[in-house]
Amino acid sequence: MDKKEYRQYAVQSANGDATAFAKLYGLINRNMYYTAFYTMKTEKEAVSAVMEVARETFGTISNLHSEQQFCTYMMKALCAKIKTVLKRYPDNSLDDEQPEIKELLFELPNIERMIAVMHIAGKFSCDDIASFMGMTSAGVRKKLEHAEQKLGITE
Amino acid sequence: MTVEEMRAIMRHRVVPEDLVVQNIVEYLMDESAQLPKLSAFAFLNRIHDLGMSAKDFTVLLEGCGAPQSAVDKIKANPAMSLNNLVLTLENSGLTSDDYSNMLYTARMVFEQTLTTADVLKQATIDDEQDEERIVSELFDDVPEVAEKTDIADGSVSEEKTSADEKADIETKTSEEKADTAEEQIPEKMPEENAELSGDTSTLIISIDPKKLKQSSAEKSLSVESLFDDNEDEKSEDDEENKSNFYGEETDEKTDEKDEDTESPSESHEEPEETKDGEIERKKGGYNKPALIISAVGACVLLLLCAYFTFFGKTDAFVKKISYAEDNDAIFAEVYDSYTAGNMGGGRAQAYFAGEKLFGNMLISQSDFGIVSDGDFVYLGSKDKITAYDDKDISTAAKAEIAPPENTEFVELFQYGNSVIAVFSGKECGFMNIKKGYVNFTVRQDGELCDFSTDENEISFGSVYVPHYTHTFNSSNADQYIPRAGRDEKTVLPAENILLGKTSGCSYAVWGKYSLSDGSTVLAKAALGDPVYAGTNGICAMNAADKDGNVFGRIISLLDTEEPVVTETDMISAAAECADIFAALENGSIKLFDAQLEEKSIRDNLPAIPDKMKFSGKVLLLGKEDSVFSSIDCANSEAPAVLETAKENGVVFGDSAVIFKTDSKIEATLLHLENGEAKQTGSFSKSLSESELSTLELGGAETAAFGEGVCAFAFRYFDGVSVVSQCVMFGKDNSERTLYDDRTGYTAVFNCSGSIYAVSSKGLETVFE
Repeated sequence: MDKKEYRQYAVQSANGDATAFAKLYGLINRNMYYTAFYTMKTEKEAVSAVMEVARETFGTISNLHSEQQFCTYMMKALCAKIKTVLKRYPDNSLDDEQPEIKELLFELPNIERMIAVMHIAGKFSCDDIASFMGMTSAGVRKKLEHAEQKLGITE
Repeated sequence: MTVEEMRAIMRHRVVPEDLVVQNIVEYLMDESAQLPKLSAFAFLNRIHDLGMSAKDFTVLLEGCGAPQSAVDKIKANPAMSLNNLVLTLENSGLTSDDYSNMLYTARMVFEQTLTTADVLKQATIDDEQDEERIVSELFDDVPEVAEKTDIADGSVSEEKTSADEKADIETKTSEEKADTAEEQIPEKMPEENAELSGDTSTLIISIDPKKLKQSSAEKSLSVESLFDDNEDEKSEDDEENKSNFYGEETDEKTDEKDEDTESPSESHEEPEETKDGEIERKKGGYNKPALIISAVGACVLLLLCAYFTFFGKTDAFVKKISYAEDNDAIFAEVYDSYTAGNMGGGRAQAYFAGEKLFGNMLISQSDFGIVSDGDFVYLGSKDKITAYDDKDISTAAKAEIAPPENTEFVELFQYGNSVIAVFSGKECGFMNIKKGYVNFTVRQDGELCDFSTDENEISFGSVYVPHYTHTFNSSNADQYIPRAGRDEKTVLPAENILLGKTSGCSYAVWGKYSLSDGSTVLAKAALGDPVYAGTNGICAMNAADKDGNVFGRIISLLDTEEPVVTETDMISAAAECADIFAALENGSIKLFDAQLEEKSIRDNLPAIPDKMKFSGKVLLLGKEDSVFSSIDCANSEAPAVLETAKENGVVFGDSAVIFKTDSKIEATLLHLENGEAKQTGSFSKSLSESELSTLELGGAETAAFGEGVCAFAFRYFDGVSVVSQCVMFGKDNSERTLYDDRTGYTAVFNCSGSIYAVSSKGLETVFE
């Protein structure tokens, strides 16, 4: 999406055009879902989190001037939402049947899991993740290395 | 495992329907919104969005268990239009859940293809450092590839090993949850060669490594060629090979077709079935359901491309005009026009009474007159018919009969011992009225264009513009098919509906009914953009070619097997009599015979009519409910203008009376003989100027005809009293006069050969 197109959709979104917002949302929805799904326990929670973020951000993006800013904004909102839910988890056990890879990820602490998921599934850089999570890049990198070590994966 | 491999696994997951762009809008607008159930149309649109080809689509349908009949129908008609496709799916018994499942499968394949493309893209970047290996595996000439098969296989084995190891993570879960496709699909991903076109929504996937050499500009491989390859393989594959769902070639096949030497990722080996029924491959375990589900995806994956026949190729094609096979066929055509916004029927020519032609006179008549069924007399107006007991018409009306809702009466006449009231509006038809009650009502959809009667039957031509609603779909298509019949209308059978891509979804309806019992003798319709529907089964329509050029079409529905069709210029008005059809095209009137052969053209009209009607064989040209010219078409090859004089009066069959009130009251009784109006009687009464200024001359309701006589009533003020007179003239003369009567003579009618006059004083016999 070029800048002009982005601006057009952003302005329309700010004016309440849900279809325009959906176009922008389409830029990031997959990554949002993967992040939510692999860090939260159930698909229902993941879907709910993404939908809530979409609703909450709809109409509030008029001052975001680029696709990059929009994606960051959405991911920030999602991370905040996920963190809130994660805090409520008594432990990291998965109740429902989940893909084995998710079981593997749930062996990681919550924050490490979020970072790992965003990096692996979302293809986000450490700098990006740092901005989503409100951390330093170095802190993200450290946690990511730790997570990858635990998962037994290499770059 | 590498991050890349893990990423591939994680990103194979399909984003839930609730979160896809198409559905999020609803949630944004309404938090309590529910995910809409997928209709066939929505499903096809979503499939289209995924860039799936027509043939892939059939594979998907088959793989997901769609009824074979539907799949066969789609396969048999690769040029099937969207609406037909919708129709086929809707009638296949597939449910919303089935669509959801199929869409899920398609999306799963689509998303894994995106991921695979990413992986390959990454791999390509990595492998750039090992150019020789890439060249030998993918880009070298076929013989060279064959020579290097071992090398290639070696690398494949390595790749596969890691891939399968990676897949094993998922496979363990998959085996436990064989019904969940998404966990199983990733197992085959590394085995596919895929390319991502510039547009990420359109994928081109090839099993031929040579095709990877093509530049992005050349990536639009023909889906047919891909599919044909696959079909060839299919036809050649034996039963064993059928388990190779990826369309990849077995070793044996590779031997036969060096050209299709396997790519590194294609060389997986034949699965073996264990006693547990699980299929295991030499590398990595696969269970049977996983393979089956994978096969659906794989087949689709192999065939995904940017070309979508069903949607991309909806070239208009002009079908032969023929009767519909079933309601679905009607729906399909209606859908075409409806979705294109071509409702049709906008130029329909409604019935107009106009002036009545009597010899060479055009007599304007203000009301329907009074008719009798022998027991009752009926006074008709547009909005009601009032029935009186003819023994005492001065007393309160026995009954008031209203026309059906949203219609008005246009004609009233006697038929045997009943009265026929013709109505038109939202629908048309007639009421058979007897003894003050409606015996039965025959209704036909559409506004009346014309009607005619013969001895025992009445025919209606109407134009019906269905009121389509948003719920319009194939399941309720019959609601939009014309209906006709006695009392309760019934849907016209599909085989009586003529179709032919005439750019409209309105109908010219023609029905013939028995006057005595209301039974339907024949009812037919033609779909399109009708202008006029005649009473003898000929209708005029406009149609448009694929460039949008409008042309006219005259269709005769008389022949049940092969309708006769003639194409002309755009038609703006039309009329039909027994054996002549007149169409107004570009300001000229063309006359056709019953076989729709053009007989003559009449131009240089004094004005362009907006409606036409025949009276006998005289074509009346009307504008704003008034006839302005007449053309005698008795000789259809040489129509001639008929000079007519406009008069005020009353026409009843072959008799008429015309009035003049310029300087005195003048009434002339006329009788039609051989098409000529001959005077058979006259009446005149001199009135002063002041008396003339108060003169009230009744219309058809105060005029009646007997054998050789006519009676009519009038009223005026002579300076002292209100004088009401009913005079009879012709072969007999008589006169009734009332002074200062409260109502004067309000009705004069013929009942059983006697003429009666009605006033506030009651019924008087004027003539016996």
